[in-house]
Amino acid sequence: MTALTRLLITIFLGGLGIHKFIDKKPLQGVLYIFTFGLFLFGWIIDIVMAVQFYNKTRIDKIENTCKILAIIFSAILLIGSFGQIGTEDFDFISFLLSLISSIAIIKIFIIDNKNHELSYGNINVTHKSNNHVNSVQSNTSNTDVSSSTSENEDLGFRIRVSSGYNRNTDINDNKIGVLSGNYYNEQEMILDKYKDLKTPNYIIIQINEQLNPTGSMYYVDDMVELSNKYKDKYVESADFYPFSSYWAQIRDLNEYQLKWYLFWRKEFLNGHILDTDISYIFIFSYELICYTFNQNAAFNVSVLEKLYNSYKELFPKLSNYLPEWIDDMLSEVGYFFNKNDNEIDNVEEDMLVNSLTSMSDLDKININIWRKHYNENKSELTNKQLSLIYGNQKFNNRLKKYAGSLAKYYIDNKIDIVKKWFEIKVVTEKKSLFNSVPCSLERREGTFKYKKFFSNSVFEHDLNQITKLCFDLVFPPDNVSENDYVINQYSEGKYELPEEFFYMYFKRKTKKDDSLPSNKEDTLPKKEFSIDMNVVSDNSKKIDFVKSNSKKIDFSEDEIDFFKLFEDSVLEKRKAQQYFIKKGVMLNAYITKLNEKYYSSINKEVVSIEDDVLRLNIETEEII
Amino acid sequence: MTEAQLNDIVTALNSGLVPRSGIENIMVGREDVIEQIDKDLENVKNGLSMTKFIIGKYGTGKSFMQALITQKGYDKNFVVSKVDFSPYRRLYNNDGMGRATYVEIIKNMTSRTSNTNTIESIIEMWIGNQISLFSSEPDFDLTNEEYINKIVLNIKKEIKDMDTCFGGTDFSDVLTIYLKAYIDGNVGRQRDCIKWISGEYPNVTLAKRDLGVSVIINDQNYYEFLKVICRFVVLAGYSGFIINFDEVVNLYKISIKTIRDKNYEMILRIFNDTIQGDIHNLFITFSGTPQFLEDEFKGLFSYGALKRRLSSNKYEDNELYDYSQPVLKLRNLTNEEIFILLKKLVNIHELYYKYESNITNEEIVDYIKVQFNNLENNKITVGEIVRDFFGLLNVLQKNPQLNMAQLINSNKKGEESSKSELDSVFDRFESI
Repeated sequence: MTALTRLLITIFLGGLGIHKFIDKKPLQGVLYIFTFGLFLFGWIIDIVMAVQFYNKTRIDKIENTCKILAIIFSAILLIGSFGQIGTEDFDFISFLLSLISSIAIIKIFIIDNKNHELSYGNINVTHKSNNHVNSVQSNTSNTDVSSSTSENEDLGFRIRVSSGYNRNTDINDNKIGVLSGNYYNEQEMILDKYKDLKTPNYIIIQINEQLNPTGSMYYVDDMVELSNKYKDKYVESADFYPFSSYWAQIRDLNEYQLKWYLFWRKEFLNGHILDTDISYIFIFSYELICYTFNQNAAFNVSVLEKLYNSYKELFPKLSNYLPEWIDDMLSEVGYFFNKNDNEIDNVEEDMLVNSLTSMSDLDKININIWRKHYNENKSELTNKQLSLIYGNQKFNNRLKKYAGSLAKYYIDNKIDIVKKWFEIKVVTEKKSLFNSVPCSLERREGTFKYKKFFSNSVFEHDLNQITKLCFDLVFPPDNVSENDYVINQYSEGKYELPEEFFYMYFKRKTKKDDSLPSNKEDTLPKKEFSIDMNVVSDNSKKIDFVKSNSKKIDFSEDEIDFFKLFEDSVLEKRKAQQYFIKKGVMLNAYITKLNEKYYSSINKEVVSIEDDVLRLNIETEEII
Repeated sequence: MTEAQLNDIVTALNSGLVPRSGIENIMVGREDVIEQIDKDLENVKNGLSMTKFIIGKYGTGKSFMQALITQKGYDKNFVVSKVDFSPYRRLYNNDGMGRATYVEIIKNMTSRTSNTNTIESIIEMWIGNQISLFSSEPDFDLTNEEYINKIVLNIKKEIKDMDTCFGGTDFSDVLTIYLKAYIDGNVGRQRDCIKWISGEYPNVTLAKRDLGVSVIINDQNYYEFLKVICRFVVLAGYSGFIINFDEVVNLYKISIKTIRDKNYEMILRIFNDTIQGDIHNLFITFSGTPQFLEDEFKGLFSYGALKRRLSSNKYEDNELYDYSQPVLKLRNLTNEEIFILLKKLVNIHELYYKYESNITNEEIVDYIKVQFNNLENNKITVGEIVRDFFGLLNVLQKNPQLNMAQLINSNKKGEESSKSELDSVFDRFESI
């Protein structure tokens, strides 16, 4: 019985529990008959499960089929329930139930499927935030970079967006044409430098434990299981199928992807480098790191390095992970531990050294990185002075500027500053291994050896001199210009800096200053205080004091009537308002006009308006 | 000079402010500017509009100039308003900052005779004009419904012609409500109307509850409304409306470029409207520092259209000034002018306290000499010198046995000691 027939039976006859009889569960079937599919709910759940089962077996058509079936079914339910309305059989509860269930079905299938589209359809969107996975687009754009084999052209890159999501456990190997057998030469792959490596015993023991789980083991990673299952399998030919996922695992592959993965792995191990998605590379890397594909450490490290070298140009992101993992693997098997110091050629990058040698971005280097390189205890500055410069932006900028200038001076004079200022020492360090690798093996701490730049006493000395110089520049004694002071100090032998460098930055500059004034203010002749008494005496006339002549003002009769309302020069605003309404005049307007009218003759307001009262500012005798 | 002016001047100078009246008595060295402003105000009175930018360094007397314009305006029967921009008061912004400027303009409106409630009297004068159209009729009575309806109809018709942005109805509704409230003696309702006209309603809900009006003055429409207020001022019988914007540097300080540009756009709009005759009888001044005007990155000149309009006359220099252009650049006072100023102060002090001062010209010259360096280095402004000198005169008047040289020297010592103390404080900060 195919999944489709089973699904159809569940949909159309599930109410009677027929699918339960097919599943050989007759008791449940009888129960379904009498309860009409457990009051519809059991039926619906079974449909969902049948669709999920169908999902697993097929890749295409799922969404559409689901949608169509859901719509058909809910339509049947709705028609049925609405058809009942008005007939004698009409049962409100069953009508309601069928309504609810049809809505639920639409919701489950149609809206759920939309979510699926979002999460799997728009792969490019998720890629942007994805560390492990490169985008499909970048893959297609780079197809011509490494099309090294003739098979490549035959394959013809067909980019399809994965519409389904499948668990590998259900894939039928025979169907996709998986073959077993030895398909690569282990010895050929091993690089010369790694041929002596041997797999530590504790790893082999752990792998065997995982593959033959005993009662004491509570968890077995299916990664080990699956990887072991497919380690001898390969596919003769396959089409490229895009794949991208975080922490990609074999179980995440669907049948097409698995087919491509097995084919690509075989081709890679036979020296044919095909274009692929970055997630396939990660899966293979995990297999190698976890020793599940092959238990030979020499082989695993060699293949990992080859993998990195082959694909680092196509996927630059690999350089964030694979080199570190290769180092981790090497340290795990004791590669560094057995080596002498002079055999080591890994050098840790140093920002300061890099920018000093290239003379770029010196200003961007944090002051703390400079500090790291010189010993403050040996500084000639006192503790108080040191506390002054700590966090002083002006000082920090000067320090960077002059230290950079000194380096430039050395470079100009063909002195190798790396040799002069730094020495390279081998450092042994322990750290935990394989962060961010999904693997259930217990890993130990690894021992690393690498070379690192250390500043030597010459750099310490030079930097101390520059610190002193910068301190004097930033905090010169009172009343002394910075440059003068610094030059005096130099001639007294305070700073042991190369003479030419010093003159380059100070003496010459001050010589320039003598000929060309640096500040504009200095060039302007300073204004002398002067006052021309002739001009003054012409203009300073005595101010005449004019006394305001108190003329008698003639107010109109109207106004005098208004003034008569005041009692002790005060009038309530409300009363005044009533008075003016009778006259058909606005209060404020009247008073403003009144004030304007007599302003020129009495120089103050006749009536002033306060909050709720009016105040008369002239004396009543004056009026009458 | 009258007694009232003398009082004004002395009280203002004692507290270091610009006097409210009689300002020309203590004014020195700005005769040509005053002449120009007189002409401009005369033009504005005759129906023109104008925008002036008063640009000068800190302490060159920008605020003094605006005070002078205010006083000249009073003399010519203008209504004057003064607004200081602040971080919360701008020409354009969304969160009510534009409206806040409008509120401030209306609140600070003053005329020669009234300091407060000027908007109220302007509105009443306008409504009074509408009433007076009917008051000549024989049986006129303001409490009569018939006449009220006639007046209301007339108000609506007038406003509809005047008002460009409200569709007329809401504003005339408010005026009608005001008239009816006045007749009923309902002071609270009258105040609500004034509150609406002053733009103090923060949202429509409150305005609708109080007045039943569905439009308020907000950040978007306040400028249109300002034009209407300007019309009202003229119709109420004044010569025009002067708005002095001070502390324009607050617009310069806005850190977000788009908002700063919007504010400058508003300045441009006002400038264009005044120049092109869209508004009548409006005189606007902006006072700011040269930085505010000329900074190519953040100043007015960063806005291309304004740069073209406001760039200075090429042919003017330190000696020759062209005051008829939109930008008035104030220069520093010369020593001679300061001398005349101080001499005038002595004169005024004598007049006010009615005594004979024994200060000689040489002593005044010595005083200027002491302040000269500070003045050159922008450490002190002329305003501060005037205040200090006035304080000195007060002390001398009360202690006739002292002479000026002694006081100057003792003051100098005090300054030095306070300075060294300050320095040590800063030193301590630096060492931390």
